[in-house]
Amino acid sequence: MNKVCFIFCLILFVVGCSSHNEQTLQCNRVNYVREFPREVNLERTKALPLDLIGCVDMVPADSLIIFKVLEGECFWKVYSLNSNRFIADLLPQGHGNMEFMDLPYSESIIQTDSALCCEFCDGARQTLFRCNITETLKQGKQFIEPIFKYKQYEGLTSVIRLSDTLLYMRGHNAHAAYTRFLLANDKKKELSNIGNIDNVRIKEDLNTLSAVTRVNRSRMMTVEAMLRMNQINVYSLQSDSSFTICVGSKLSDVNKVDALPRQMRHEYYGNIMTYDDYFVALYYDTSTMDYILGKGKSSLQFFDWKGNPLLCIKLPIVATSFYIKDNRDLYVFSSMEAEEALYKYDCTELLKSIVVGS
Amino acid sequence: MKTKTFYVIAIATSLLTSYIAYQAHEKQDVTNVLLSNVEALADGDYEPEIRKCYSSIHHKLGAHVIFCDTCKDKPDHTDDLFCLSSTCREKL
Repeated sequence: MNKVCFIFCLILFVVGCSSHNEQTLQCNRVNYVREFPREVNLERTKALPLDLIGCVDMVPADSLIIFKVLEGECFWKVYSLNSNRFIADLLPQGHGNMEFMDLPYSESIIQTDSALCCEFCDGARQTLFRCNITETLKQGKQFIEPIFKYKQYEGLTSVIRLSDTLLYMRGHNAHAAYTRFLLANDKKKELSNIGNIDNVRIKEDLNTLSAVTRVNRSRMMTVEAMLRMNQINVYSLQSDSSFTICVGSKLSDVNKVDALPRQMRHEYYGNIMTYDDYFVALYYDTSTMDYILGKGKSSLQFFDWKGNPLLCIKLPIVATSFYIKDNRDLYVFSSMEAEEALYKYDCTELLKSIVVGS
Repeated sequence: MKTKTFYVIAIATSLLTSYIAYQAHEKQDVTNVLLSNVEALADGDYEPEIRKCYSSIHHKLGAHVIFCDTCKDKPDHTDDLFCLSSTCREKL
């Protein structure tokens, strides 16, 4: 009789386990990262003397930093990193010609021999614009031109120009999933090397699948740091290469994360930047409640382009964004503290070691 | 006695299996409906009118929300933690 009971329980156990609907997001191969070869703690330092009240984010552009402002006369405040001085207010708010109604998004910096440009999306006009920063600052008037209208593509969150005829786009599909594609000579081309990340759908909240997305033009690689899951998805836009980095031993279950009550949410990544030899992700691993109260912690995780961990820098503040200038200086911006502030650290030796080692 | 136990286990297992199969089928149905809606939307045949939105939002890089005042997508924004969701009618 005991034997029969055991078999019955076993059947129940097996059936019970198999009915659990687990879903993970992955770009084919998963690279689990348990530890970093080197970890460094940075001490708190004095903020740079810049007036950053109301700034929510920053876009580094060579020796300039564009701070994004939600409320004010203009959406951009440009500062020089060489002199730590304010240079100009750009992108006036308004309904007129060359005025903007919403904060621009999906910015990317393009540097040519003669000019430094920033391309950005304007949600109200559904248009990709290019601002020639060099000419704008030289002549004291805005050099901004529309370069691509994307009205026919609903729900785009990223539009990045890769060349004159090639664009990378990422957008949501009826608030249930994110999809990515290339637009080559106005022809849509699906990405076939990205695993299941285009196919996973959620029921509750699209931000379960949200990520900060950056494209490295010289490598034609895209990195996506997930906001609510412990992973970074990396995929090529020109070859079959793709992988997922998971810091930990198990990928987050999409359905579990999606079903979490709002107060129980967890923050994983907040930003990501790409460089020639590596990419760097801003990692929180803290509850949303602590994050909002500014009680959380943050660190910068460095990976090479094969997905190997290189370095982890633990920051003394909850950072919002960061910038590594010339493999030397680390700038960290925080809008989560009592006052918005930018901090500068000399990381020459640290960064030299990972560039040489990679 | 052994035959009786065998029948009990067989019936219990078949009932359990049927229930699980039914559940899986139902899930598949819901997914299919969702998928067909998504496809219809992509084709432009379907116009969603009511959208879940939030009236209190803040900047968050990479996130995405619908702002009730405009009923439009707001990239790089998310809902405030204690703001309840509402609905709005999409302005076409």
